[in-house]
Amino acid sequence: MATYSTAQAVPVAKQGRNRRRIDWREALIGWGFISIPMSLFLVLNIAIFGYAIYISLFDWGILGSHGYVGLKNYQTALHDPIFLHAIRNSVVYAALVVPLQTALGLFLALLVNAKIRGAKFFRATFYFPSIASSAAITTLFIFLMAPDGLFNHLLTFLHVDVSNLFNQGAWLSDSRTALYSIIGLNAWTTSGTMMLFYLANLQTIDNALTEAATVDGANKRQVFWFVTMPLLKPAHFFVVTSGMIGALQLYDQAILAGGADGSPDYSLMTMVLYIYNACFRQFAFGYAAALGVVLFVILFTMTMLQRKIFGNAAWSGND
Amino acid sequence: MRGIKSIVASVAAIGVVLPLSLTPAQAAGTVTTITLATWGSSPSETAALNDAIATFEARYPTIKVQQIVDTDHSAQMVARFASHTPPDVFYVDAGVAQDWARQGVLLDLTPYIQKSGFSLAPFNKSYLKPFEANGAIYGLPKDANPLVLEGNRQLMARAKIKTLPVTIAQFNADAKRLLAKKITPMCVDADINRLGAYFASFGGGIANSGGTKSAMASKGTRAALTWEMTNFRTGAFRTPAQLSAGWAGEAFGKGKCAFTMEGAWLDPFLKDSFPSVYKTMIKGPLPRAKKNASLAFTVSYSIGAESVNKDAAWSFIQYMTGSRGMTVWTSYGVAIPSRSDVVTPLGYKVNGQVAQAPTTVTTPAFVGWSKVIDAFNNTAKAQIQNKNFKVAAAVSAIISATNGAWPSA
Amino acid sequence: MTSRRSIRTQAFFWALILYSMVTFVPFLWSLSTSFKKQSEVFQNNLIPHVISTHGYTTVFSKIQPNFLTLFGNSLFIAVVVVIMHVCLASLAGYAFARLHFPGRDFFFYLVLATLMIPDQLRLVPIYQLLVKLSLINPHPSNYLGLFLIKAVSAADIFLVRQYFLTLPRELEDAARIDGAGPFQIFTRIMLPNAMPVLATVTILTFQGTWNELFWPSIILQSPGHWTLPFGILQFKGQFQTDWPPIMALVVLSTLPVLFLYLFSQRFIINMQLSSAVK
Repeated sequence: MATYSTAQAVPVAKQGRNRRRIDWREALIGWGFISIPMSLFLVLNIAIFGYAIYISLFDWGILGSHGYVGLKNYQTALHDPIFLHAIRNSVVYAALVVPLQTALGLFLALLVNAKIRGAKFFRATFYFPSIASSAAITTLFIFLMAPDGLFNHLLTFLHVDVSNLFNQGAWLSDSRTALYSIIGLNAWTTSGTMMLFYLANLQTIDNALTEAATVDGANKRQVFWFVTMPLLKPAHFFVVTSGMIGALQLYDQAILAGGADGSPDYSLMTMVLYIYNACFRQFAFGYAAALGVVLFVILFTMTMLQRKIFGNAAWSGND
Repeated sequence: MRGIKSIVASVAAIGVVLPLSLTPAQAAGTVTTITLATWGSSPSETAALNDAIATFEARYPTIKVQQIVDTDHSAQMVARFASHTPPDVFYVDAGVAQDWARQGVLLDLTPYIQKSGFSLAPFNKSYLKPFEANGAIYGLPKDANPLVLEGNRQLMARAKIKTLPVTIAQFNADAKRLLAKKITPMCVDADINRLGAYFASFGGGIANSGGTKSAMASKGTRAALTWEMTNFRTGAFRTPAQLSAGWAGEAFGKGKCAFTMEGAWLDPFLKDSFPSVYKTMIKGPLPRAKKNASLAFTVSYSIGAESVNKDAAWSFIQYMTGSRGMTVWTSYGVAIPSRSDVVTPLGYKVNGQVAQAPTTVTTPAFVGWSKVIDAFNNTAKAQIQNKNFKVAAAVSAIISATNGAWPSA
Repeated sequence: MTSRRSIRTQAFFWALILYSMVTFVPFLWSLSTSFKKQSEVFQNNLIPHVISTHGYTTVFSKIQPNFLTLFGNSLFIAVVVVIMHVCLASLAGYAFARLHFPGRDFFFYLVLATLMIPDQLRLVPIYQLLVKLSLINPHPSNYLGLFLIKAVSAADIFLVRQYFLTLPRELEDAARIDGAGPFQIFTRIMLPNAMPVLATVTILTFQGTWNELFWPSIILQSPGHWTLPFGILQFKGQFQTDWPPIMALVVLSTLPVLFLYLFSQRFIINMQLSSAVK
C-alpha cells in the first residue's frame, strides 16, 4: 500500500505522456480485471476476424476452400456496384442518424434531469420507443407509413395532397424515401437509449460546478456550452462512436422493410445485409469475409477519426 | 481397433439386412430418432406436417421424428453443414437446391431410389428438375404450388364481370371496366416470381429450355413485360405496397383489388383473416396470351451428405413423398400434390389442374439464381415508382439489369 | 405570473405531453391488436369492435412448450447475462479508465475493434466452435454455449469506462491519501458511485437479452430451452401470421422490461457522488 504514491492523483493522460515507471502491482490488478473479457474476445472475435482475413484470400464455400485466389475477392468487392451502393447507403444512414439520435438523446436527458414539472413521468415515456424489439417496432412502422397509413392521413389532415406527392405517399417502397424513412424511425427509437447513456453521465457532474458558474454571472446557455458539454466529453465519445458503429451495421430494419434484396433499387441494401447475402444466399464465404474486412477498415478509420475530433479528454478523461 | 471395426461393420451389415427380412414389429427393439429441420410456418401447415409425421411414425414404429423449426433456415443449415452436423432430413427450397448440390452438402438419393424401387414416374418432371444435377437427384419435391388467378366476385360484379378472364384480351377489357368503377383490377408484386409467370404464355421465358441461359431478351418475354409494365402504367396492376398491404393476398382480402395471382397458401390466410372474401372467391388459370402457362414453387425433402441416419431418413422421404404421406400432407390444402397419383383436395381443383399442366414450370434452377431475382425485382420496382414512367424504357432496363446479373458460366 | 416566459414554459410542457402520447402509440397498437379477432386485425381501428381474448388464450394454451417455461428460460438467461455483464464491465471499465498497465490502450483498441465485426459474419465460425466444444446439444450444457457467446459485451465495457472517466478524480484522492490500493478504490469508491451506469447496463442488457432471437435461435437446440421470442415465431408464417397471439406475447413480454426500467430509475437519477472511504 505504501508503494501507492500520491503522484497518481495526476490525471491519467499526463502520466502517460510522462512515461512513468510501471507499478507492477497495479499492472497485475489491471490485467487481472480485463483478463476474462480479453480472453473471450480473443477467441470469439479476434481469432474469428483473423480467420475471416485468411479465408478472404480463398474461394471459400460451405465445406471449405475451392482454391487460393489472392486479393481477387477484394478486387471484386471494390468493383461490385451493389456493394458500393450498400456502402453509400450505410454511410448516408450513419451520417444522418448519428447526429439526430445523439442530439435528441442529449436533449431528452437534459430535460428529464432538470427540475421540470412531470420529469418523472417524462423519464418513463421518453424511453418507451426503445423498449420494444426492433422487429415489433419496424412491423408497426411499415403499417403506419403505408400509402393509406396513419402518417399519410396526418398529412392529408394538414392539407397535403398525398396522391400528388412525387412518391404518392409510398414512403418505404419508393427508392427516394425508403432509407430516409428508416433514418427517421431509428433516430426516434434509439433516442431513449441515448437518453439513458447521457442521463447516467449527467449524474457525475457536480452541481457545485454549474452553480459556481451561475454565480459568476454565466447564463443558462453559457453554463450548458462551457461547463456541462465539456464535462460530458467521454459520454459524447461513447454515444457517437458506439452509435456510429451500430449505424454502419444496420441490418434488422433494412431486411424487414426492404427484404433480403434491399429493394427497391437497392435503396435499403446495407453493408451488413450484403454480407448476409454473400454468406447465406450465395454461399460465398470468402467473398463475404472480404466484405467484412472492408467494413472493418471503414469502421476503424471512422473511430480513429472520432477520437481525433473529440480530443484526448474524451479518450482519457477530463484533464 | 481392427476388432472393433469389424464388429461395427457386421452390426451395420445386420442393420441393412434386418429391415429387409424382418417386419418392423420384430425390429422394434431399436428405435432410431431422425431430425427434421423445417422453417416456421402457418398454423394450418404445422398441423398438416404434424399429422403426416404421426402417420409415418405409426407405420414405422422403429423411427421417431424430432422436428427442428428454424428461424432462418438457410443460415442455420449452412452453419450445420459447415460443422459437418446436418440434420437427417430437411427442407430445401428449389431456388437454393443447385447451390447446395454444387457445394457438396446434399446426398445423391439415386442409390436409395433404385434400391427401394421407388418410382419417380408419378412426379411432374418440372418439379423434379430443380433438384437434379449431373444425373444425380438431391431431393424429392414434397409438394407444388402453382400461381393461379383469384377473383373477388363482389368487386367483379360491380363492373358487371361474371367470369374470370381467360385470355389477355379479356383481362384487358375487364381491367378497363374495373378502372372505370375506380376499382384496382389486379394486385401483383413487381417480382420475377409473379411477372415471370406470363413469359411462357407470350412465347418467351425467364430462361431457355435447358434452364440456364437467359431468355429475357426474347421477343415473347419482351412482349410479356411490355404488357405488364403497361398495366402498371395504367393502374391495371398495382403492387401490394402501393395498396398499403404487406403482400398481394392481404390487398385482395382487404378488397382493394378484384384479382390477384397467388398459390394455395392464399386460402387458409383468407379463411382466417378475411372470411367474407374467402367465401366468394373464385379461381381459374392465369389469363393466356398464346398458351396457358404458370410458374410453380416447390420444396424438397433432402438428406445431408453427412447426415447420420441416412437409411431411416430415406424411409421418411419415401413415405412423405409417396402417395400416402403426400395425401395426408396435402389434405390440409396448404399445397398441391407434386404427384399425379395423389388426388387434389376439394376446393383446390384449379390449383391442381394448373399444377399438372405441362406448361406450368418452376423458376429456373442454377447457381447464382438469387442474384438474378434481386436484379429483376430491384429494377422493376424502381421503374414503376414514377407515376409517368415510359413503358419501353422500363422494359429495356429490366431486361438489361436481369441479364447483367445472370451468371456468365 | 402570466408573463410571456411562463406561457412559453406552458406551451413547452404541453408539447412534451404530446410527444409522450406519440411514444405510447406502438404499445397501444400492440395492446389493441392483442385484443382483436384475426378477422379485424387489418382494419385501422384502435379500439376493437369486438374485444376478444383469443390472443391471450392462444398464448397460454397453444405455445410450445408452454408460456411459463419460455418466460422462465428468458428470465434465467437474462439474469445470468446481466450479472456477467455488470461484473465484467465494471471490472474492465475501471481498469481501462483508471489503472495503468502496459498495453492498456492496445487492449482497449481491441475492445473497440470487437464491435466492428458483424454477427452475420461470426455466425458460422462460432457455430463450428460450439460444435467442437460439444455445446450444441439438447441438454442443459447447451446453455453454456449461449452464455459463452453472451458473457461479455464490448459496448458495456466501453460505456462503463467512459462513465468512470467522467467521475471527478477528487473522489479517489482522499482514499489514496489514506493508503487505499486500486482494489479498495474500486470496491469502496468507484462501485458505489457507479450505480447510474450499472443500472443502465442492467436495463439495456436485460432488454437486449430478453428480446434477442439471433444467437438463441442458432444455439438453443431443445424446445425446453427456448425463450419468449421463439413463441412469437410460432404464429408467424411466410404468408399467414396470427397477429393477436403475437401481440399478446409482445405485451406480456414488454411488461417485465417496463417494470425493471421504472424500478431502476431510482438508481440512475439524483445520485449523490460520495467519496466516503469507510
